[in-house]
Formats: sequence, structure tokens, C-alpha cells
Amino acid sequence: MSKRKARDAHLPVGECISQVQEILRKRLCNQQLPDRPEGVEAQHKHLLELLKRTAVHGESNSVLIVGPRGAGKTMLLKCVLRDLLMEKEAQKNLLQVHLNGLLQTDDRIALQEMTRQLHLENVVGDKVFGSFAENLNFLLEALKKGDRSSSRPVLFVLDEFDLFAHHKNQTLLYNLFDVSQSAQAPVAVVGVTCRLDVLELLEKRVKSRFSHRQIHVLSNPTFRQYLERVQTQLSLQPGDLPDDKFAQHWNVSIKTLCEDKSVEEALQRHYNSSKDFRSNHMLLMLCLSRVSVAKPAIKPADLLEASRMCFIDAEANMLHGLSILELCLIIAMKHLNDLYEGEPFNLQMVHNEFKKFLQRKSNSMYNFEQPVIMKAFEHLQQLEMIRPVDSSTAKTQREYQLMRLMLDHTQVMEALQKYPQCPTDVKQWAMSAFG
Amino acid sequence: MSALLQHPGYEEERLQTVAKQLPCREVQAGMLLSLMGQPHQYSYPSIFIYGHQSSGKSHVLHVLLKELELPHATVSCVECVSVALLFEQVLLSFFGCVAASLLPRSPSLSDFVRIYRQQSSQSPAKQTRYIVMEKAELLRDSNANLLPALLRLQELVEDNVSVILLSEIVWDRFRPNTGCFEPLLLHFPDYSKGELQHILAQDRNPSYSDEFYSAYINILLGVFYSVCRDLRELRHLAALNFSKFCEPLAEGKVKETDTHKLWRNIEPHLKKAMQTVYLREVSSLQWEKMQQMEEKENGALRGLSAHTHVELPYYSKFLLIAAYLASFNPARTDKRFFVKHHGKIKKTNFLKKNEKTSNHLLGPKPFPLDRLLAIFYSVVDSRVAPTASIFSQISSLVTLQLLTQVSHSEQLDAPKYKCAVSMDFICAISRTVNFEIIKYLYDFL
Amino acid sequence: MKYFTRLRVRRVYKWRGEPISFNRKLKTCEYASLDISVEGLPRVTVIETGQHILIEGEDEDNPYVAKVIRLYGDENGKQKKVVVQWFARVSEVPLSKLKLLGREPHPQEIFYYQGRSCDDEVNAESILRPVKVQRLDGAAPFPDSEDQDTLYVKLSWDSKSFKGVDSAQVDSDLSPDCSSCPPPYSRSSFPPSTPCSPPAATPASQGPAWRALPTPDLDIMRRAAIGEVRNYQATMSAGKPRLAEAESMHSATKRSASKCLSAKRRNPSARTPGIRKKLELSSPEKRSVIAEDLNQLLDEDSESELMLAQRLSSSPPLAVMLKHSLTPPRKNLKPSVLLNKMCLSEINSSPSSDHSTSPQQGELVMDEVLPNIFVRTPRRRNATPKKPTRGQKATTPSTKRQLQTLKEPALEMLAEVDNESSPFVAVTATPRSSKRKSAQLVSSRIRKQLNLLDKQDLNSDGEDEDEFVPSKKELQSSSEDDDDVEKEAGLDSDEEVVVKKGRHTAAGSRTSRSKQRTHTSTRTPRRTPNKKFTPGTPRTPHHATPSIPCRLRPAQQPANVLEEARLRLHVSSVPESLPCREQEFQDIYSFVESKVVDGTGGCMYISGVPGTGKTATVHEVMRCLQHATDVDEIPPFHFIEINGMKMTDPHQAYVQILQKLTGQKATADHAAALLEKRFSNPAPRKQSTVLLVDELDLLWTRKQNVMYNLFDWPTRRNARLVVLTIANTMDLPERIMINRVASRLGLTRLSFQPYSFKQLQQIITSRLNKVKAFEEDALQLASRKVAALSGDARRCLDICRRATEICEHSAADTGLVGMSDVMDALNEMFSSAYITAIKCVSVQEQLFLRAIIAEFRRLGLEEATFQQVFVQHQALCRVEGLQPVSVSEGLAVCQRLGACRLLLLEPSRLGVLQRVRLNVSQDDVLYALKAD
Repeated sequence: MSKRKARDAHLPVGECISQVQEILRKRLCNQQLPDRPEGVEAQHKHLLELLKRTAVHGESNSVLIVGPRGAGKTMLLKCVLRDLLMEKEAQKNLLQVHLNGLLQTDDRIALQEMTRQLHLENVVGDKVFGSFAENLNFLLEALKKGDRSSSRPVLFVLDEFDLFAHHKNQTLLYNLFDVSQSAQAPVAVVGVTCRLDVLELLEKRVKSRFSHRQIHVLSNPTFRQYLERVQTQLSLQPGDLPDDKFAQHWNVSIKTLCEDKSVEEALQRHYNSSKDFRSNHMLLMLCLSRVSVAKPAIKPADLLEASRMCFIDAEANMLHGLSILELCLIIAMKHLNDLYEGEPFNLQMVHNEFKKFLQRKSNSMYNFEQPVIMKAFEHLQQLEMIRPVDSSTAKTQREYQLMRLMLDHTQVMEALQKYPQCPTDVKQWAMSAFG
Repeated sequence: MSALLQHPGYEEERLQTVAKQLPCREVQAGMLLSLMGQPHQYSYPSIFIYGHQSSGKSHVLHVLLKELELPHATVSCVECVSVALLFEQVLLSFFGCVAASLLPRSPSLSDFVRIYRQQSSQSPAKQTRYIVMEKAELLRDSNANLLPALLRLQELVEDNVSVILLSEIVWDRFRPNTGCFEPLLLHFPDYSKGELQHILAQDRNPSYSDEFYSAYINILLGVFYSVCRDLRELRHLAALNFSKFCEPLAEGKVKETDTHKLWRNIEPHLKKAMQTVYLREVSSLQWEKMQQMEEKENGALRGLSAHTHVELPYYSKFLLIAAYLASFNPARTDKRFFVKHHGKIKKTNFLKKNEKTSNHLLGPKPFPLDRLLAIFYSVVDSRVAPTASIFSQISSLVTLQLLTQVSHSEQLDAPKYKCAVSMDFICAISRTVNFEIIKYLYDFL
Repeated sequence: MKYFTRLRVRRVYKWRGEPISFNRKLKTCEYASLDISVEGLPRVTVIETGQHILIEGEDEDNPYVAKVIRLYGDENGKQKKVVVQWFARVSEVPLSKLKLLGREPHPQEIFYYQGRSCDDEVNAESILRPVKVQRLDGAAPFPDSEDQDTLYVKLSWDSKSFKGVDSAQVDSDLSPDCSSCPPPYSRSSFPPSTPCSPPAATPASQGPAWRALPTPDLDIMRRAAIGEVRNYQATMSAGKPRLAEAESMHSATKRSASKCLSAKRRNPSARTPGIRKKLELSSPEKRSVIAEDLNQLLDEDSESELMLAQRLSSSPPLAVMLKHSLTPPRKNLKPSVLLNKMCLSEINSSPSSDHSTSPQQGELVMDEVLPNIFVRTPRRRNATPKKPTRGQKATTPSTKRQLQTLKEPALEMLAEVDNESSPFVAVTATPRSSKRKSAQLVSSRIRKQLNLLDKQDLNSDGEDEDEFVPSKKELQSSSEDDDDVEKEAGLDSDEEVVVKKGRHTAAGSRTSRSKQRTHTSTRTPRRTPNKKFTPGTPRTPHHATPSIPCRLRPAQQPANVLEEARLRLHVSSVPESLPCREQEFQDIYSFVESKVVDGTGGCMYISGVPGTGKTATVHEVMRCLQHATDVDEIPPFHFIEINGMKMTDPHQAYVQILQKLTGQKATADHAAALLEKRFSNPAPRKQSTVLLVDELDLLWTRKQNVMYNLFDWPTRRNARLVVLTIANTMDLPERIMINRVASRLGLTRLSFQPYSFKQLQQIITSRLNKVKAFEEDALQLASRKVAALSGDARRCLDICRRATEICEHSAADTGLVGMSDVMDALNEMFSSAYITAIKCVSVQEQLFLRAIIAEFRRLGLEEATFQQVFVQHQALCRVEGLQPVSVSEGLAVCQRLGACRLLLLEPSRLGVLQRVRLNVSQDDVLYALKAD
């Protein structure tokens, strides 16, 4: 029926689909900001108030936004900034400096970046002149010159805040916080981090200068909310699409999708595993990617397939691709683990185990020369399925180097079940309690 | 099959050519394509593709990006010994050499992102830009921030860019300790036997018929598939052994159809190949030579490792043997083995208690110098004085890495050694001085 | 403060007269002279060709010296350019080259610059003021006059070697103004490095006359000076009784005892306003009184003006007065005419004659000037901050210093009177005792104020009605002295603005001790990166100034009581005084003061946990000491502050100290050498230096040479260096210092105890004095909690601030912060987020935590591998009836928990082998999991 609806729409269905794709991709991939942050209204208010006071009253502040990955910290901050800049008052005055702990990996780089973004006078083009020391003094001077009422407030956003705490002496943090606590140019220092223990990272004098404001972004939606979120994420706002018919139809199909029992189960499983936006987005993105002209709607099957992809065990996939020999070696290792309570093993032992198996009951497998085994062994090591106990390879010969198996037994067994045309005796061997 | 490769964003014939170049990878290609979406649409910030060697990861991507003429930069992390190279390559392939030249001497991530932003703001992307990182597992070893930064590059540079990581290691082993932007995981399954057959059969020698060649491939896989599923390896081996396979045909002994004869003819060669070429103990060139050589005297085929033995001075051989004995026999058994004129010995002493694991599994044990010498004097028949020459030979054995010195080199009195040669090697040696070592090995009593 | 002047006062540059010639090709017209006037001041300064001028540079203490060759601009008068002949100061010659000189250069020596390295064309806007330059021939000794203001040329300097100057051309340069009179009384207390400290009113008021002299004639000038002083003294002594009277009635106007005290402490400062007040009271008919008060005032004015004159006008204050007297402010073009008329008259008049005339001139001005005092006063206010003295004397620009600027003239005179051994001495008590007093006064003031707070019946006076005008309160920043003065001085509006600004800027630059780099390049179009500025190459008048652009919309004032309270509670807002630190204050004060007074050196180690007011107390002490110096109770001294955290590496300490001391820039090693020299070899009239080293532990190096030097210098015989070091840990010296360093640091230790809850409470109350925003018990709760935890005042203030916010948003809007609000704030700040976090994590993650605990229980360890935990996890899944998770998912869950540090994990590449540890106590986990 979807086909028919689409056909008598104004736009050719391909058009609509590609537009839908575009809109939704913006949401899912580009983390497009929602109109209002969901679930974190209180935090939004708090932060907005705080920054407003800096922008308008010139009151210095410092705050940390803490929350697990993908809980919407950055989203919150961006929303606040967007709303803040709505006001002329703020937008006219506020200077912004955005730093990211991933990029500004030490204070020298960070200082250069700050100077650049503030357009201080020792910046020409995008070159920052002067040594590290000079830059620091220059910036401090600049901030010192300012005062509450007359100089523009500066907003420092430190993403991945915890990484800044690892800089030498925490000089940057000390100075930023010091400025925020002394009557100089008004600043607001906003740190964003996912580490709950971030305060323990700060040196005590730095800590003392930080006004212990923490805004926790711990989104805790119920499953219902989660479902709604999925629906809103996928459905189109009126006006997104020129072709209302299609839009309506699309939304209807999404609605039906979300009401589907199997879908609900799948989503429940996702909800159980993680509640954050990002993983959700990934799932939906996978579904979306399966929408095409051929089938212009997300079917339950798609979502199930997508969630299967999300939950599949990567290691099992890799095991699936091993050669029989390598698989046998792994089984041998498994047995060794069982035998010696997870004591590390070396190639000789594994080979020995393997040979035992061959002697006892093998019609399918025949023995390989040591070097061949060795090669297989090394391949496993390359795949990081086994790992040397100590990395000192120099002293000991390879065949005597101690290794550990980095697979869980459940994984091995599952892999065996799935393994294409796996010889039965090998299966049995794997099953058997002791090699 | 090519039905999978339909996408509004691109022309049909392009997709056709792509499909042609990607046998047995249509599914993955289609999936990728649908993830990438139309050129102007946003793609997922980072995609992590994992799969075994030569399961066509980089090939698929390369073909897609090239054929569809999408802006992309392909970086192999093996080549990038320093991040500077990586940055340069990306900037170069996106914005040309001018941008690349903007990078300072030793660029930081910050510099890279800054320059990228500049450039992308000057020339905004009409199409999604793709950065393909091959051998991504090496990113873990370089700068700790590099991987997380790349994963959220789209957000950092505010450009429609998507980073695709290729690796044969699963994502779980990548996650930084404080987490990061989770990429979208995509698995490239290995080729099934049928697929391998299909692909290998494609590069057949025009002078022979299809069936013949596929029969050959079949035989080849029969031998190697259980050991190796690496397409590249198999290709190589196939090419190498094909001539051998055809020989009886050339001699006119058999017909193309008589696969059984052909099989009996080729099988030993393939077995040998597995122990030599496959292990890279000889280069394929040497392998060719060995083939010819064996044409003349068709000696029993022995693995290469068998006829590896170095020429050693007489006493050195004994030293080595002594070392081997010292490191694989428990010290308490020396008396039983090497004391020349012991009176009557109680049987009980020789009964070796059955330990769980033999010494040959646990590997060589270190031993002090004097023990080595003691054993040495007892095994060597003629009387030798402990001259400097002996000691110098020990040290030369160490330099040959037949012995390894385990104790610290500054510890001059009582240095400890370990024998670092394999069983069959020492057997070969002892055979040359006709000394049957097995009798002296505790494990083989 | 400089910032503020830059903002407030702009110089206006005008061509005077018609262009002499017009250059067709370059489209430039050449002019004879240039007018420099200051906005709001009718006074005009004239720069003619051939004159010597000061040009602003990076170091405001010694700006560049040059001689005007040509003045020209483009025809539409947009661009004003000056072609100059440069002179190099000693400080500008690189030290290595300075050796070539073969002798100790005279502080006021300058060199005729022949190097072609720098362009001799500068923007007219960078001209500061004219300066007197005198040529001596090579043999002649430097005149040992104390005049800081004349510069001497002996040699020429071409950036390689010194040569004798060919007298002809330099003389020709110098002829116009090569002569000046050494002012008889400018005291030795001025540091040698100050070329432009205020000289007396008299000589300069004679300025024009001598400028007219064709050739220098020193002894004539001396006689002139003497004569001058005499009649000057006359006027002074006339002024005296009035002074005393003014004083008395001024103090009479005081109401609260506390104010009385504080006033006595700085009676001289209060004097000026006192008089002015009186003046305003007195109606014009009481001529006799006024006349004398006027002398008084005028002299002050003339001085303060003269200081301006030094700074930005070459026009002699006498001329100015004339101008004022003759022309009420409305006339703007007249003065200039007048001025050169006068110059002319003086030029053709003979020296002797104008010695005789000058006094009368002085007199006749006195009474003519009467009408426009009131016009003049505001100008004087906002002019004063520009006084060059501030530059190097005011090492701590607090508002008190700002105030100083107002009373300075009076002080000058008193001091002078002392020199002239007049019977009447302003400051009566013997220095020592009085200083003690002043120190104690601070504490007493605090006590007063506090118990004044306690008994809520405020004997209502002018004080608290303006306490409650919000607009006033936000500028209630630094010292209530200002309020007194304000009230007495009966502020007219713009004055108030000035003071306000003054305070802000003072507040703004409280921490700033370095007064380098004050001149802005906002006027100069092109910037030059400060990297280029090495001491060797002084010829870049333009200079990158660190500054944050100023806001386009004004900051809003606090609207209600809560916002007001929040403002006062912000850590940054400077309290009037530091309560609860009286003892420490006393100790530090007496320590530093004694050292400064007997010119010795010493070290002091101050320790205490963060937020116990160490640095603040020291600053307070410094403010008081500075004040003391200003009223000449103790000799003046430099105050320098460095902070270990504010430098990139310990050796930067040298650089910063040197820069703040002399304004030189140098590499660390070079700076170390210079300082070594400075502190080790004796120099006459050297001021003592007080060096505050904050965050001392950061200066630790492996060889500890930085610390060693810092503590070693004070021990030198004539270093006159006092080092105050601050760090957090009490036993730092024992822990990190090697013996020779520790022993030099000595045993003068002072440790700040964490605040008790009473003290904290006191601090808050004193901060929001009489702003009723908190319930008593709310305050007590906050302070008790903090005292229990850390005793960190910052924490306490932050909590209170947060509480006000919460109160604002709370539904029950009793404009008063109650217990509940404080409670919430406390919870926000001190409760760890772990438990809430655990409550919020997903089901699987909670399961995993359970699994961990189960596994720990099983193993009896606090650590397990993922593999082990995973088994438990699977089991739990089955129990809970959930689909068992795959290993990948399990790892994902585990590492998500690790990412937010609920768990501690090994690197993820260990896969299932990585070991897992809890970062929270098991009980917390169980509690959190049980809760839902």
C-alpha cells in the first residue's frame, strides 16, 4: 500500500526518499540540535542562567558538565549557547573560546589556540607570535587589564576537560580558574567531561579556585520515553517535506513500526543495554540506510536486522573466518586452559595437545609440520586472539613463548556451531571435557 | 546480483562497473553504499570495518570511492610513521599541496584541525569527504588522542566528512580508556570456499579450458584450504604450481579430463609447497630452482627446516649438544647420565616419575656455565683442556644465537645460558658427530 | 589604572597655524608646530620643530627621546607624521655594548642616535610631551642636580660604538630648551629610574621664562631657583594655619568613630577635600579666608597641573593659570594665542627681569583665578591618575593609591615644608609609633565595623542610606575611606564617575603588580608582535597591548537584594578588610615594615591550605604599607609579585622579576645575571624591594637554584630585598628543599589555620555588610559545613552564592535565603554523583555491577578479570530472564562503565583478560542498586 500512496504523491517517490534521507541523516549523523533539549530541562535552565549572568552582569563563573558518553552534554551546551545568543545583550558582548582536550594536548598549544580565538594583538593572520612563556604572560595581562563592568565577558569551553587536568602543573586550569575568582575580565569556564571523578584529578589549589558547580547530565528515560524518542527521531516534522502526503504516510509507517511487537522487543533490548542517544542513533541510522526507492519505509525486519548487527559478537565473526587448523589450535588452547586453570601455554604444549587429538581420533585432519603450525599460531597472535604474557620475545624461542587465549569459551563453542562444514570429530573434540 | 548496487545518488553504469570489479562482495558494497547515502547527504561520522586479511575491505572501498569519484583520502597507517605524514596525506588529497604546505614543522592535532577548517570553509564540501584508514589497529599505538579525535572528526571540523577505519582486529580492543564516539561497526565476512573457487577461477590461463583450471583450483583448495584461507596466498600458490600441474598434459601422459591422475601428480608438490613456499622459507624464485633441481635427482622431499644446519667446529657441536642436554634435562639426572664409572645403580633411581608436562613442552631451562662444561667433558670423548678456545667458542655460539645468555652480561662469574635450538636441529648436529642424543634425554627414557 | 586613563582621557592632536609648505608630489603639508590638548581640558601643549620630545614606547617609565625635525601631514589632516632625530636611553643600549662606554652610565644620560636601523618617522599621536635635553662635552662631569627631568647628551650611539657628538648640530638641536632649573627639593626618595617625577610647582611655573633663554646659565638658574623657593615658601606659610583649621573641622565632620580613626590614619589625604568642602561652604564675601585657601588650592592645582604638564603638555602651568584666569572655560581658541603671546613677551625679556616679575605673576594669578576653581576641580580629578609618579611609585594600584592622586599635591608641599624646616610639621608622631598605630588601626577598624554590624541598630548616618542604593553598592569595592572622602568632597556627578571608574580599574588590576606596557597601541594602526621586542631594539614605538575588547553593551547592575548579595559574595569582590586575620596581618606587617625601615633584607615563609587568605592578607599588608609610604611614614619600596603557577617554567621567575623591577626584557639566564648584579653590588639611594613569591613549590627545580637565589639575595649586604613566600604545605622547606636552601629561607614561618566556622560566618557577614539576604542559621549551616570539610573561604562563598541562586528559583519566594536553599547548594557541591549515576545507568550496566560484586565476593578479592565477571553476568542475565549478552556487548557495557570511572579498567586491548576494579565502595553500589 505504501507503494500506491507514494505513486499518487506530488513528487516522485525517489525525490521524497532522498529528502527524507537527507533530513534524517542530519539528525542521526550530524547530531542536529533539537528545538528543546529533552530530559535535561533543569540543567538547561541552570546553565543558561549562569552564562547569562556572565554575559549580562559580567559575573565570573566556572562550571563542569559531567555525564556519561552520549548522554547529551555537548547537545545541552550547544542548545544553551544557541538560546543565549538569541539575546542581543549576550550576543553583542560574549566572546567565545572553544578548546578540546583531544586537540589542545598541552598548555602551549592551548594557549596559542586561545590567543588566536580571542584575536589578541600578538596574533597576525593565524600566526601566534612569542614563546610559550610570552604567550602566557600576554594572555594573563590581557585578562588582568579587563574588569567586570567594562570589558567583554569571555566564555571558555573546555571539552574533554579531564585531559586538561593532565597538563603539566595544570597551569592553564589554575590560571583560568584564578581569573574566574579574581576581579579581572569576566570569564565563564565551562568544562565538559564524562569522568565522574574529575574533581579528584584537580590539584588542591586548582580545586579550591574552582567554584564547585557541577551539572550532571544523567539522562534516565523510561522505556516509554525511549520509544517516543525513537519515534520522534524518525518521524518528520510538518513542513520538512514539500509533499505532505508522503510525509504523513511516512510518519504513519514509523508509528506502526514503533507499535510492532517484535520491534518493541528489540528496542527493549537496546534500552536495557544502553540508554544514551548515540547508540540509539547508530541503530536508527542502520535502519534508515535500508530505506530505498524499492521499499520507501522502515519495516520491522529492517530494525530487527539492524539490532542484530549491533548485538552480534565481533570475535565470533572473526572465528568464523579462521582455517580449520587455526580453529583446532584454539580448541587445543581451550583444553589447555581447562586443564591448567588458565595457566599460560606455549606453542609446544598446544601442538602436543593437537597431536594427542590427532593420534586419538582424527579421520579428517592430518598432522602438519611444526613450521606450518607455527605460522597458524602467529596468525592467531596477529589477530590478537592470543597474546604473549610478557612482550620480551628476544630471549625465548617463539615456540616456547608463553601465551594466553583471549577468547571466552562460550565464544569458541558458538563459533564451532556456526563454523561452515566443520568436521564432526573436531566438534566432538571441542565438546569433550578434557582433550 | 548487481540489483543490490542500486542507489539513486549514482548513475547506473557506474554502479555496473563497480559491481563487475567486486565479485562476491556485492552485499557489503551495497551496504556501504546505502550507509554512505547520496553524495551530498551526511554520512555517519565514523565507520569501523573489520574482517580477515584479504577479505576485500580496502578493495571494495577503493573501487567504490574511485569509480563513483567521491572525494576521499586513503591512508595506510603502516606508512604513516608519524602523524605528520597522516595529516599531510589527508590535506593533500582533499585540498591540494598548498594546504598541506600550511602544516607546521611537527604538527599537532590542533594544527591539523585548524587548517582543515580553514580549507573546508574556503571550499565547502558539496559531497561527503571520506578518510579511509587502513591497518587502523596501528592507530592505537600512536598518539593516544588521535583515534578518538578521528572518530569525531566530523564534529571537530564541522565538515561533511566521514572516517572509515579498516582493521582485522575487533573494535572491542580499540576503545580508549575514557571511551569515545562509537563508530558504526561493519563486518566483512571471509570468502566461503565456493566464493574462493569462483574468484580464483576467474584468473585462469587462457590457453587452458575453464573446467581444467577450475579442477586445478579445486585440487589446490583441497590441499590448502584447511590451512590457509587468504585469497592472496592462494592466488600466489595457484600461479606458482600451475605449470607443474600442466606438465603431464604437456608430456601428453594424461588428458585434461583425467583429474585423478593429475591430482596424484601434483599432490606431493603441493604438500612440499605448503612446507616451503607457503612458509616463505624460500622465495618463489628459489622454489622454481628447487623444482628444476629435483627434476634431475628426484630425492625424497624434505621440509626445508630439515636441511637447515650450520657448519660448526667440532667442539662447538659438542658444546651445543651439552648445552641442549643441560637445558632439557633436570640437573638431578646428570649423575645418572654422565657419571662414567658408577657402581651398581638402584633401579628406582632411573624410574622417571611421570610429570604432567615434559621438559620439551616447557622449553629449555637456564643452566650455569660449569654445568655445561661438566656435561661437555663427559660427552666429548677425547680429553680437552678448558682452554680459552673453548670459552671463546661458547661466546661465539651465543653470538650465533644458538645459545642465549640469560643472566645479565655484567654478571661475569657464573653466567647462565639457555640452549636455543630445536629438537631436530640438535639431532642433525649429533648425527654429524654420531652421538645419539636421544639416549641422553630425560624425556625420552 | 593605566587602562582606565587610556579609556577616559584621549589626547587631541591639532595642527596649529597654516602649513608652511605644501609638497605637491607627496601631497603633504609641512607645519611649524602641533597642538596637543586633552579632552575636557582647555589646556594646549605646543610642539615645535627643533624641540625635544618624549615618544611613548613599551616602557612607560622611560619613553623614547627624540628631537622633532619636521612636522607634516596629508592635506586633509588625517595623518599626522613627525620626522624625528632619535636619542637612545641607557636602558635602550644593550648591556653588552654598554661596556664599551667604559664608565657607569648616568641614569639620565642619553645618546645621540646615529644608527639607521629604525625609521625616524613616527605618528604624531605617539608624542607624549617635550623634555629638556642638555648637552655636555665629553670631559665635563654630569651636573649632580637632582632634577629627574633633564637628560644629558654626551656621546652619540650608532648601535655599534659610542662617539663624541659634533657639538654644532646637537647644540643646534638643544638650543631651544636646553636649560632647566634643578628643583630645589625633589627628594632622593624618588627611584633613579624615574625621569619624570613631579618637580616643584615653582621652577616649572617659571618654565617659559627660561625656555626663552638663549644659552644655559646654570648658576643664574640656581639663584633663580633659590629666590623662587623663597617667595614660594612665603605663600606656603601663609597657607598653613588654614590647613590646620581645615584639618580640625574636617575631622569634626566625621560621625562614626571608626571613620574618625581611619581618617586620622590618613589625615593628609583627608585634608584636601576638607578644604574644598570648606570652600564650597564659604560664600564669596569672606574674601580674606578664601584668598588664602586659594593660595593653598592654587599651589596644589598648579602642582597637580604641572604634573600633567610634565606628562602631556609643554605649556607652563603659569601660562595655564593665566589662561584660566583671563579666559573662563568657554573660550577655546584664545588660550593658544595668549600662550605664544606670553612666550614672545618672555623671549625678549631679559632673565633678571623675569626673575623679578615671576612672583608677581604668581600673585596676580592667585586672586584672579578664583572664579574657576570649581570649573577646574573635576578636571584635576580625572587628570591626576595620569601623573607619572603612579607609574613607578604606585606598585600596588589599589583604590587607596587612586585616592593618593588626589591628595598628592598636599603631601608634596608638606614634605617640602619639612625640608624647608618650617616650624609646623604636618605629621607629628614619630614614624615608628605612628606606623604601629596605622597597622593596628586597620584591625581596630575591622573590629569596629563588625560589632557595628552586630548591633543591628545602626546609628543611622549618611553611611547606610547610601549602603542601600544598589548602584552605589556594586562599586563598594575596596575601601570605605573613599566613601568618606566622597561624602565630604560633595561629589559632583562626573567626579563620582571618575572615582567609580577608579575603583573598578583598581579592582581590575589588583593582582597586577607590573606597570609595564601601559601605553596602548589602540591609536597606532599597525601592530607589531611583541616577540620582536628585545631590549636591544627599542625603536618600535608601536606595540602589541594585551587587552580584552571592551563590551558594547554596559554590564547590568544588580537589580534585587539577592543579586546584590551574590555580587558581594563573589570571591573576586575585594573586601574592605580581611576579618579574622588580624594577627597574621600584624605579623607580616611588622616584619616587612621593620625590614623596609632599616633597609635590610629577609625571608618569610607563609603556609596554609588553599582559601585561607594568605595572598589576600599579604596584599592587604602591602596596601597599608604603600599608604604608609605615601604619607612618608616609611621609605618607599618596590612591591613585586610572582606566582609559580603563572609561569611556564621556574626560571621564568627571573625574567618576570626583572621585568617588573626594571621593565627590561631578557632571557632567563641573562635576567638572572642582571638581578644578581642588581642585588649584590651597592647602589646609592636604592629602594628596598618586597618580593612576594606565590605557589613557591612550583619553583622547585632539581638543582633548586631558583629557590636558592631567591633566598640568597636577601642575605646580601645591600640587596634590601624582602622575600615573602607562600605555599600550601607547612613543612615544604623540610620536604623539598636541600639544606643550603632551607637554611637560607630561615625560620620566619607563619601558617594560616583553616577558618573556623565562626570566622567563616564573620567573613560572610562582613562581606554582605547589612545586605539582608540570608537567614542567620542558613549562614551558620554553610559555614559549619565548610569548616568541617576544608575551612576554605572560597568554598563557603561559592556555596552561599549558589544558595542565593537556588533561593531565586525556588517557588516559595521569600527574598531571604533559608536553610533549605543552603542545604540544596551543599548537596549539589559535596554529594558525589556516583550513586545517582549508578541509578541512571542501563539495566545491563547495573547487572554488570552486580556481577562484579558477586565475583568479588566469590574470589574474596577487590579485583577480577572481565572474563570471570562476564560469567557471573551471564548467570545474572538468565536469572533476570534477559537475553544473555554477547562478549562484545559485555565489553561495551564494561567499558562504558569504565569511561565514566565507575570502574577502573586495564587497557582495552587486553580484551576479556583485562582486570576490573570498582571505583566506588561496594556498599554504595548495593545501596544505589537497592534503591530502585
